[in-house]
Amino acid sequence: MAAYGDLLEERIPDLRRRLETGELAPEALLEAALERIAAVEDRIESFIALDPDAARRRAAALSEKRRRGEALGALYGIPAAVKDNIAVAGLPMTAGSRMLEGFLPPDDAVVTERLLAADAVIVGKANLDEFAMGGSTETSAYRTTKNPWHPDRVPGGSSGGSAAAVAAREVWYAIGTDSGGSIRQPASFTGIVGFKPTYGRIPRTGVVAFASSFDTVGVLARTVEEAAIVYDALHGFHPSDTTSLPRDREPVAPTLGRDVRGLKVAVPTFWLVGLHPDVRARTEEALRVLEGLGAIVEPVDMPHLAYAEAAYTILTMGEAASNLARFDGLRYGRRFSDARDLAALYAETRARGFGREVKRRVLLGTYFLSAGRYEDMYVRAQKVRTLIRRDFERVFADYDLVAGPTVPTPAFPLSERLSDPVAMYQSDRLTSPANLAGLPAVSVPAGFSAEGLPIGLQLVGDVAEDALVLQAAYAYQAATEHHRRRPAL
Amino acid sequence: MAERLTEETVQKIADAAAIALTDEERQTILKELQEILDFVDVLRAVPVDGVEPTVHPVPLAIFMREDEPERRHDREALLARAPEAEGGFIRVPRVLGD
Repeated sequence: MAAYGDLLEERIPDLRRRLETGELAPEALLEAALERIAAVEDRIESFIALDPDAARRRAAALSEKRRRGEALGALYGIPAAVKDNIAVAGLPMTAGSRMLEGFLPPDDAVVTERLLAADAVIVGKANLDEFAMGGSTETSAYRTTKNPWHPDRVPGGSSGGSAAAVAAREVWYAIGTDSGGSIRQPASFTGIVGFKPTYGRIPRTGVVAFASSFDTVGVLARTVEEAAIVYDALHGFHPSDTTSLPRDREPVAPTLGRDVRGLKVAVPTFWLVGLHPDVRARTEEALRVLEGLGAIVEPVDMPHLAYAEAAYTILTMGEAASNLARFDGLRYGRRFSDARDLAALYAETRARGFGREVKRRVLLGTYFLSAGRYEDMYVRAQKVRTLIRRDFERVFADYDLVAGPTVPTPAFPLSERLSDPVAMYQSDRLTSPANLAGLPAVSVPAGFSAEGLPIGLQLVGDVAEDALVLQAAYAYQAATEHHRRRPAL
Repeated sequence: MAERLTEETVQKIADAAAIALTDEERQTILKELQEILDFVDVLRAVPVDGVEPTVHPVPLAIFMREDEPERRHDREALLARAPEAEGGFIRVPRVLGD
């Protein structure tokens, strides 16, 4: 490791400058990542698929591009991981499920196209909870990713492979998806930055659908600045996703460093109860740091936040039941049945192709959408979603940001919550409100528990205020040192 | 108090969701589903009369796309991804009776 150690700690902007001048070659940076992966991957298990040869060909092609004197993209030569529910042509895409074992997507996702257009180097596909359903990455059909800070703790989920790969210095950034906290919760558990933009900022075409009105593509990186650089390369409307939004008025990364003096920050009282004591302490310290920077921090009452997790559970299960109906054992993916009867072929394929958690959610989602329950449960949850959105609208009439912890606890032990779905869902209770309301939100490192486990601060902005969220997170990070600590691996 | 699930209800749900369950799975899943149902029952405490349901979180400008056909994929490449294909078609069990 010694030869590459310093390179692994460098930031994307510095690497990008050295790559542009030719002082550093994309091949050399990639070899640093591959050597690091070879050294730690058997302990961390961040990846479902790695393709070092394809990455080497890519790095060589990028070197050639520079020699030809062509303009170089914002992510030129920087190695990345992509969550395995996002299509990268040439690499298999499993979504963590047996159902898609061996599936080769015919196209790149739009987010992958944009990564490649920015001259990124994709080294592999990161592990995740099956179909992104989970908060620990343990429901993956393929492997159990470990938290780089503690081998007996979960990395969080569902983007746990993406988070672990960044925290373990296997790559400089990773792409994830966040439907209820799946980027921010693992970022909090692994001591990195996780940014979920406004719903629709990054198009979803080519991303395996879980709950379509919640699913959001976003970025995991070690610092806010790096997350903003990646976000700038990826966001903006694409005609293939009618729910995608236009670009920000200006690129966000150059606006970092703007003064946050006078910024009004609301802290929901409900977000400060029921917390692990160390999470509570770190959150209060973080809020004092924001005050020290000139922000005005005040408690607010948001009465419907207490119902977020229940509404989220009903709505995402209903949407998942509909989305996963496409896995029929006929058109693509695996078939696990020789039945000559169509109904039996479906039922056997789905029984063997889906894991336990996915079955729970598809079954309950089917129940919530059934004739007797639809009005009473599903539509009721949609109305509660409206009330949660109104709570945010009321607060954003007077405040710029909503702040609190990202997760009520530090990373929990492996297998602790696997057979206790309700306890697992509780780890989303502070993150799912941003998805219910479609809001941009970031988790930024805010210190450690007494046991040395990372704790995250969450900042949530109003719709389309992605830049403000990142500016405030950047100001906080510039005033703190938590992100400089790295796991002893 | 949430509705009490029975094994019969669970089987009906499983049929609708097209997921085969063994007898043992039916019992364990019943217990897990019941716990989740009890958990989400808290929503009954929220007054929602007159509240509009939210279907989509962010206001969107709906636009029309030109209706122009476009060939994106090679037919054989897509058929190669099906578990069973033959003569340019996906092969499935008989759907209609004799």
